[in-house]
Amino acid sequence: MAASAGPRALLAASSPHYVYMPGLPGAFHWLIYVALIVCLVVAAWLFNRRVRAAGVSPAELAHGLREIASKGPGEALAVVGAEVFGQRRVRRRPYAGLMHLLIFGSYGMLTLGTVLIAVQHDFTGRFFGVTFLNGNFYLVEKALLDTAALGLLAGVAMAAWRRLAIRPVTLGARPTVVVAYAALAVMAATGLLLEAMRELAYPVSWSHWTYAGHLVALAITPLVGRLNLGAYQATWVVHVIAAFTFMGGALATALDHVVLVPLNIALQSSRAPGELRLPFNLAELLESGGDLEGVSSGFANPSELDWKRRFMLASCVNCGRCEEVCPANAAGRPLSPRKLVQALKGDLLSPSDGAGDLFARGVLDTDTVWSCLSCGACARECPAFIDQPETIVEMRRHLVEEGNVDEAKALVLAQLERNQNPLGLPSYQRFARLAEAGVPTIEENPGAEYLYWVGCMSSYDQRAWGVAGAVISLLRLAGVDFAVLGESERCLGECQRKLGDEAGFQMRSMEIAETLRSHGVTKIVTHCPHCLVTLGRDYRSLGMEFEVVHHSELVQSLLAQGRLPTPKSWEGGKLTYHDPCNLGRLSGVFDAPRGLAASVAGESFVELERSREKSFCCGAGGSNYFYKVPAQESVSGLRLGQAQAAGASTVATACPFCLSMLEDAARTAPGGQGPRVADLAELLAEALGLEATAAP
Amino acid sequence: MRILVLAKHVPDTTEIRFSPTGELMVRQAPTKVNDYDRHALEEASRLRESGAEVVIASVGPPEAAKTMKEALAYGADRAVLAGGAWVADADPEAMAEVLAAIARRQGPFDLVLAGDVSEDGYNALVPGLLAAKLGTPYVRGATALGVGAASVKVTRLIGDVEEEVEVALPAVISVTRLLNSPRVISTMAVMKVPMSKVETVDLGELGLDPAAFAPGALSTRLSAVRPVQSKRGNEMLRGEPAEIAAELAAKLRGMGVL
Ligand code: SF4
Ligand code: SF4
Repeated sequence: MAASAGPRALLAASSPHYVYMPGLPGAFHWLIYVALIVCLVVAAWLFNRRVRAAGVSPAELAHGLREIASKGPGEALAVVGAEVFGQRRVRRRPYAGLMHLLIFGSYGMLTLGTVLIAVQHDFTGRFFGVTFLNGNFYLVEKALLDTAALGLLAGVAMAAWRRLAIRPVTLGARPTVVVAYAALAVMAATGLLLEAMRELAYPVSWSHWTYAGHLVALAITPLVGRLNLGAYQATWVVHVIAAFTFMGGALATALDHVVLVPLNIALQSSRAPGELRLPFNLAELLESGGDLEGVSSGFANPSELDWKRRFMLASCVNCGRCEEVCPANAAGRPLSPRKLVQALKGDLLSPSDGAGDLFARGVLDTDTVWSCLSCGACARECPAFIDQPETIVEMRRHLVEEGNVDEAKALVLAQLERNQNPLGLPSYQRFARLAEAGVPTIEENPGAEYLYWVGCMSSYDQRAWGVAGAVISLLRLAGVDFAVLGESERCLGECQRKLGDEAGFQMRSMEIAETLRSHGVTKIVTHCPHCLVTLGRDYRSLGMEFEVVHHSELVQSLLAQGRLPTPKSWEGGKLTYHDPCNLGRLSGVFDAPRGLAASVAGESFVELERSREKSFCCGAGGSNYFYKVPAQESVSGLRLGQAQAAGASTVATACPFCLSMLEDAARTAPGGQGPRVADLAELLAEALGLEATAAP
Repeated sequence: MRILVLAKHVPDTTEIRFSPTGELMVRQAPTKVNDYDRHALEEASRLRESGAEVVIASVGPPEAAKTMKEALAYGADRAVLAGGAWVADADPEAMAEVLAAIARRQGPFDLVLAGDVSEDGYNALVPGLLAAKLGTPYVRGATALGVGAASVKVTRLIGDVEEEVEVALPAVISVTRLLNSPRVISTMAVMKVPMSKVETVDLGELGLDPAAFAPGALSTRLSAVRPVQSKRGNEMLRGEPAEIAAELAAKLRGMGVL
């Protein structure tokens, strides 16, 4: 063994290479392996305890991971890679991002460095006589590892500063986590110290490559006389104990997220943003003639959730990123997604006393779940991949199944049943306006290339009529072959689903899909992003496939193909664009509307600070258009204020609900009339001098 | 305590319209539980939670079975639906006769609850007629109920006066929409009600003579339905807000509203 062979002369004379644990008894290295095994056993025991507390068995977890593996782990690996190794979401916060990068990156490198040593010494070297920690590779590796040690110290310092001095409300400084940080710091510091001691005891010609250790060596040179083998060996022992304390004990601290979060990310990786998992497939349920007793679409208590959702809740690190971006929280509604997840997690880990559902037991208030706009801003930020809006809808489902909703919501559901629209207007008036405008129905124009799905807002709402009018004018000008369903169009049930009537939504979707199929419809264009996500993504998850595009995409491609002329001038002042949540964040359509806005307003286009993925809801999402919740401010007012702050005199949007909300906010804006609010199609039609067909 | 609730299958009035040729288009309209009856169902289901047995009685076409499932979803033990070809022309008298037969056959009941009126006929007669046939007291228009073992306290609103009536059981009470707010019934809740809870019966099974229910034998008959043009108009005022306000005030004064 190198240690027993360790005369100085030998070391000094040779080219750069790794020397295994000089100055340590041979048994020491076997002790490390023993300690490693003990440490792994402890970690496994802690992990088991941790997941079981959330009601998840390791077997379930293993099964879930096997499932991912068998379905092709590519996607999960890519997401875990980006989020864990790339720290994609974590990096969005400057301080916490840097801190995580330093700790995670450095720890990872140091671990890798140690593994390489073990591989060379106890595997390739021992059995094949092959060594690779030599030459330039070795020198660079050493320099990197020194950097990592410094990085780890800096990261831990930042973490300690954050928990002990900055003290954000969401982070505590429990003794356990302090011990974990101390262990990391001691590990890194003793690592450098050992390097320095070794350099002094066994000098090598390449010691400046281990620059940090070298500096420490310079610092401790005056003490060199007092250094003896005992001190050196004791430092080694401290180093090893610190390393294993962290490795074995992290799972007993707030740092357990290093294991829980990556696992949760893997488990949640295959989901589209905003997609609601099906609690059941009604069509299959009815076909199988199965017993519906006990079938439920929501949850009354977190303990009823399936293990994946329990694991998800348990992964929350209480970082508050969700709360920071939540428009409901910003408006002073009684909802913070962080507190909501924490309350559910808390109740899952140690259920509060009392009988009944989580609302009866005071875990959450019903107003809290009704405050959510299903905007998905929180879920997009959450570094632990927790789906707050879905969890919220699942609690709404429970309330609806229990009949525990107020009259405003009950009325919307009743009107959907009776009038086939949430506004409660007669179904036979749906097509009246477009019929007058001579818009062909699919019966009149069978085989039309596009079915234009008009949606409830533009069928009934006086203001939103203008959007349909503009779209129709544009489609006609470009010579697009289209038709509408006419009186047989009905609400797609997006609001019904968000209100929590899942069975009603699925029932409706089967009927609508049947109508569409009976007309041989395959391609659909709609100007309503709520209809877009429902007909596109949601119907697909129910096994019904239609090709659906948003009007902004179709119109933009018509412009690009030259089938629509580009308008010449723009006099509307600064134009900004508000990304509707369902179109942007939840459907990924960002560029087409911007292309449209640019062709209308050219250089006068300005971006909002919260745009694209970071967009801020108009206040109508999650069915909030149809009822009120207590709040300090209106969400729409906040959003309009952001547009005003950007100096916009025109706010373009691409959703009839956003249009209605923002226009309302503009009408009541402090300091008089706010900016003009219009749909992109309206602006384009106007700029082209088209009369909107059917405009009021 | 045993409670009978009358729940009617009605077309949704917001979806009823006249065709261009002036015919009433009821067929296409969606159907539902009469909204007033929902309040009776809600009240009964609350009483059921404290131990009452609740039976629903109805007269209606075969499609009404689906509506009965919805009514049952409020929380009732079972429903009895009387039907037959005669239903299309049934008048309040005939309906009350059939419902009385159901009440006797399934009874005795301590309390009969019903909505004050039905949205389709708007006669507000059936509960009273039923009480007469059963020989029990009848109180209409309840806004609150206090059900005791032998009597029920009924609160009614007459104009801006509230009165409280105490009536001995058994009794028939019709309820208004102020009584309670009925819970929302989810699609799933309706689907979970087994069809076996709805019993359909015909006149013969109720011991009634079908001849007495033939169209000619009934005392009243709906002979015509006509649309009435209500005089409504609107006028858009334009201009600056201050001008509009002044003009509006002048117009309202002119109409005698202000
Ligand atoms: S979906 Fe939007 S409104 Fe709902 S909790 Fe998340 S950020 Fe808040
Ligand atoms: S839910 Fe996600 S974003 Fe919100 S506090 Fe928990 S970990 Fe952070």
